[in-house]
Amino acid sequence: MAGYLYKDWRLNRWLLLGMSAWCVFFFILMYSVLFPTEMTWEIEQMTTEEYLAYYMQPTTSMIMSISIFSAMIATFITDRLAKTDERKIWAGFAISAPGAAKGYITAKYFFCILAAMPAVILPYLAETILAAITKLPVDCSLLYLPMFYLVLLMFATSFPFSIRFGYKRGNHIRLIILLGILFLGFVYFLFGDLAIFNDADAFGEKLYNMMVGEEKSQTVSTVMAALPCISLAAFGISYVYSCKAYAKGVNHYDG
Amino acid sequence: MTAEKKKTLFRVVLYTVLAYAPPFVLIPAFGYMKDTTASQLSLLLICFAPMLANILTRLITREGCKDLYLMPGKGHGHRTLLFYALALLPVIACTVGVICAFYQAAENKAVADTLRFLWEKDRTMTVTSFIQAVTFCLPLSFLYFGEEFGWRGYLTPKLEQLMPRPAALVVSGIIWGLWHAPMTWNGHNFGKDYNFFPWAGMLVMCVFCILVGCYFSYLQEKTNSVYPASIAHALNNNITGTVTGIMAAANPALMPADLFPFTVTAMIPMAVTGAVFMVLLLMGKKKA
Repeated sequence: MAGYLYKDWRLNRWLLLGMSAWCVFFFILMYSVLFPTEMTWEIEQMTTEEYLAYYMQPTTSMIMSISIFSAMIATFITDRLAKTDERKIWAGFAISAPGAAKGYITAKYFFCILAAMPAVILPYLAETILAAITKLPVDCSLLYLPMFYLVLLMFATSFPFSIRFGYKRGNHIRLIILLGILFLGFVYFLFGDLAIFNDADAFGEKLYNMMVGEEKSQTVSTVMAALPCISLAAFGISYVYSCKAYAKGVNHYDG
Repeated sequence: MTAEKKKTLFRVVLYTVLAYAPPFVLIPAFGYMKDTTASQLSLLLICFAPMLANILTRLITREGCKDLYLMPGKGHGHRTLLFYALALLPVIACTVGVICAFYQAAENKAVADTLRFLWEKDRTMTVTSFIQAVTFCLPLSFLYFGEEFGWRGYLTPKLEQLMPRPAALVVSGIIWGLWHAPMTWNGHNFGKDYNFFPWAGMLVMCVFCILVGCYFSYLQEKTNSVYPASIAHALNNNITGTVTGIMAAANPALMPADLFPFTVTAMIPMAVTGAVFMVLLLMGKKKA
């Protein structure tokens, strides 16, 4: 399995390192914009409460941007995990190796977890360093921790289709599922309660308060608790199915 | 002593010095949990000190990359999943420990009323907060990987090459417990208002680390991996705080004035768990 992990690392290392470098650059850039060396007269006159209110939303947005970007790159990398090995020769080698198909699939799922970790590690480090330097009580963990599980869920729903039917056909099936979810969202936008979207400026603040702030919503809290459970269950079921489906899917691969 | 054992002993001493350096230098220099940039950033470095000590020791002594325990599991198939499930034991042990600690610290009726309120009136938020705390420990376990990669991934296996297993587990636990000494000296876990401060706190930490270290070592040995121990460590450290926070939010009067007996009581179920796994480890065959 170490060999498979090393191969996937070699194929994706520049993406992972580039993502980390970009997040560091983005953090330094946003920090120098939000907290200039010379404070303006208005900021110097602020009380502590006004200072916190002024900075909490942009710093939260900065941390979340890092997390969302990392999660997008992680999803892109995990999406490629099936595509890069889609050859009959390689599949024959993987099945005949000591770990057989199960060892190969285990390596893929383990690499997915490793690729998803930067979506947590990078915003955590950014948040800790920011809180240490600025003394702002920055704590967005309940916002970026679910990104890890979203990456796992995306991989769990796409990888078995790619393994079983080939990357192209698997992508078509995943697209149909995504279109179905978008259609449900479209129906909600036509007929559902849209009061929260009336004020664009307050939308972000209201969402933050619903998730972690004073108006913590039971519905949002339930969704935040259910997402990891659904994600882990889907990941496990997907793993078991992929182990069984790998050998069957080889017939869809090219030479 | 053979040349190989001398080399291993040197590696253990070097690792211990490198792992001890950050907390024993940074905490006296910058303070512990102070509201300064240096203090906050030094805590982050201290979390990863054992991992860095492992890497530096291997580089300095040219040990190479043998026995890193970085694979998720090896050769046990479904049994590996069972051992990963055993890593979830701190969820039960820490919850029971905190509830018992509240019963010990506050009026039984007040604690029972709070629990009844949380279950009957605020069930959704209580359960969802608890589930979030448990599930978010998986991605947050990278913080505790920094410790486990050092203590279970390097120190304990090296000590088992030098001495019998029971002695290795005790010495490893003492080294790990004393590593917390600068933090205990600054009120970590037990506060500062107890008899024989800070020696009683350090003694309790050493005993706790010996027992819980056996549990983590069991997970590491059975899976040949440090990841289950990292997850268990994350759960052990976070569930206690979460349950305490949920109870205190519902009834702030429950919070004890005296932290030492509260914390010791809360630690007992985890210590008992560790003792059980210590027996299992000592009864099992030592890996060749």
